[in-house]
Amino acid sequence: MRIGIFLCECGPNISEVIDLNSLQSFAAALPGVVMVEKYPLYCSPDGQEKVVQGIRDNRLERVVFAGCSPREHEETFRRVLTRAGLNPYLLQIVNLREQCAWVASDPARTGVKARALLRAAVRRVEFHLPLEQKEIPAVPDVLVLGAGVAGLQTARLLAAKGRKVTLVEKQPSIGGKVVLFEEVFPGLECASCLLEPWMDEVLHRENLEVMTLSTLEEVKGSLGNFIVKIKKQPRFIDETKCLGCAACYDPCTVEVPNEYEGGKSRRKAVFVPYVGSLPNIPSIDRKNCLHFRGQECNLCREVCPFGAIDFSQKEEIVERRVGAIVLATGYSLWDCRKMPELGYGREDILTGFDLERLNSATGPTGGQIRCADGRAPGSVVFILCVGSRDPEHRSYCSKVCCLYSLKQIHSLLKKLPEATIHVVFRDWCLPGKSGQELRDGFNNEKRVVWHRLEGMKGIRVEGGNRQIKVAWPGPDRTGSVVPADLVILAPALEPPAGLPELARMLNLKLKPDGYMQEESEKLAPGATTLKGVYLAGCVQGPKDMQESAQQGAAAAGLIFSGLIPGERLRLEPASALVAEERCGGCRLCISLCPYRALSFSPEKGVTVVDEALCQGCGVCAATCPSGAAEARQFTSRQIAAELEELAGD
Amino acid sequence: MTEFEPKIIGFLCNFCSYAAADGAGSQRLHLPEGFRVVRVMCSGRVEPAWVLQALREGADGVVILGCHPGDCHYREGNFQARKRFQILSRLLSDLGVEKERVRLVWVSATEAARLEKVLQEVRADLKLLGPFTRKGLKAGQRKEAEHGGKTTGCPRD
Repeated sequence: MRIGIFLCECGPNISEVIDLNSLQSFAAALPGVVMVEKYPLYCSPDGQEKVVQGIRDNRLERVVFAGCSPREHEETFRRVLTRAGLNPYLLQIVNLREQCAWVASDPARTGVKARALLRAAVRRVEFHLPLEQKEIPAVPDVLVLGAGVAGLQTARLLAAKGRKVTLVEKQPSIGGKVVLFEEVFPGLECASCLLEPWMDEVLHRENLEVMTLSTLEEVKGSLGNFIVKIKKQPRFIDETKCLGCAACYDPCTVEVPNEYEGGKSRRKAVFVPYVGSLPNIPSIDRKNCLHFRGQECNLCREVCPFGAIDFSQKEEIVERRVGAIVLATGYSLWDCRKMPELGYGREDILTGFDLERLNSATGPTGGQIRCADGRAPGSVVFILCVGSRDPEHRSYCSKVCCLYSLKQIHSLLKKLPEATIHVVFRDWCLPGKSGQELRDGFNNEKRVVWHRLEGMKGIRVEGGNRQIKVAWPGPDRTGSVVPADLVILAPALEPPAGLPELARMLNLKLKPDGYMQEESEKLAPGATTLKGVYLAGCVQGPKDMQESAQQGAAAAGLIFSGLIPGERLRLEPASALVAEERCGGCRLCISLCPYRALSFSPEKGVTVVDEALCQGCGVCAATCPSGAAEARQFTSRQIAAELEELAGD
Repeated sequence: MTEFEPKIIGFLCNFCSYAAADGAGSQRLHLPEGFRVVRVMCSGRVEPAWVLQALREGADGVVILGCHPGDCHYREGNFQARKRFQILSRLLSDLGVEKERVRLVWVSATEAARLEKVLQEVRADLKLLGPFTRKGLKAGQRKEAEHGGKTTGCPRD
């Protein structure tokens, strides 16, 4: 074995603390060492050239570089080895600067330490193995889950640049929750007007496939090579034939409360969720449709001029190959029934979301704000922070409730010229450049009465039948009571239903608050710990429309930079390997692998490694009871060799 | 060399604790002169056998340093490290190795100052205990070897 050592002075950084001349003569006598050189700055272009020459002139088989931390220049010197014709992994770095010279306090002992570190590296490098940089082909196509603001944004941006996108939405229509809102803060724009161009765009692109009534069923593979199975519920309407003419609604004799309007309006068994929902194709609700309840009803089918009604449609499993997956599954609203004292579920006690539908020109009341019995309310009470910032429920601030409640108050003042509006709140959360304006707009408004409480505990909504009262205890135990014709609760946003199952499917983790864990909350909020899986919108935490649009665009950007058509993916060379002849097939390692990179091969009776998934952590190697699993570049033999010398004098 | 300077072998994970040790250098903190580092990608890679080998080869103490729970670059390698450490601790206690000699500590990449403090504490403890004599460990090595398992003091070839 021909080992060469390069001692870097790093200017004065190392040479002034450690006697490199004596280290050089010590190193020259180590077994296998055929060359020891020192130089003022090996990372400089001249220095790198010296290393290339040294390797070539001395026909080196292994290289030890002693200088700065491997975190600083390991990659640099690996490239230098490659340039000299040597496998880049036949290098070991001695951290002589950060972890020796720079932390030194006693020159005599520092010299001893430097010798031990060098000896250990020389011993270790002998056992280094040449590793191969493997590459695999990658699919540039993308699966986007969820067609709200974030998902629409990601999908349209990717598709605009020619990526093939599959946009999967669980609901019969796209646009998410926000498309149902009449106005959005802070500018009070109409949400559906904002979103409609985007929705049209995604529905009319050839390279963008929209799958409604669909959910993710199974995921296999890794970045660049996922195989996903999507479960598509039958619509019982042939999407290729239906023009959305609405001829089928009238003949249908079934009428049920419309769950998409919070039950405030009624719909048929063949229906669209709300006026203007897209795609403009109805679906048939199997639970209520008479045809599916064993009756001889074919009224909608008889009337359809295009023969689009198809009762024979079945649930389908569709398979797609994609390179990346974007999770944009949105949020759910916290169930206000968990605080029975607030009376949600009784008449005239609504959530902010219910109010959005009342307020919508296309909603059940045509945009009029009315009590259940048709009266115009004279007193409306808003209660904020319902379930939010409450350790017993959702401990975080839901971020959007203050803003949307203020927006709704603006709207109600306009629509109800006689009404008084009471606002029961704790603090204002109005960050950003336009949030405060919404609040300041009420500064001279006599019809809004603010009730600022110390906390939101003890609020009660009592009575009913035109006699609702909202009461809360005061700091002096007196408390207050206000009459209400309409009560509007601002519930917390919470993680979307089904997120734990989705996380399990993808082998991802949820944070304690229940939202998806990002790779880094600050620096990589749109990435997950699984390469190729990205987050956009409220699946990562409460967000407003603007932030969701931004994160949707960010996810598209991450995919544009990380998954380039025609570019092959470089795999981690220092991945794990399992020696088949030593593997007993106990599968301990499989259960511990955080990346599902290991699987059991029944034919061979041993564990096999998927190098596309392995990230090289080495947990399997440390776990293997028979020594079959190994971490390349951190093998047991290499570490043992290092330890043989490291503790010596 | 007159005064006893304990030798401390550290197994440091690349993403947190090794970065902290580099940070200690950048900030010119003083780490014990007997502190010598084996870099691993993850604390979950550390085999209990390595700890035993380090003691056998002449270390007076061993530290395994990993990312704080929840911060592991590889998701949960540090939890595996903790499980193994718990088992190893029982073994070491059976072998008569003082618990101060082998420690598992979480150190994030920014905690260079904390790393210095932890190591100075370890050093102070080891100075009180004195050099590791290895008698118990050799007995343990024989005992474990009978089981033929990997978690013995014998590095495999």
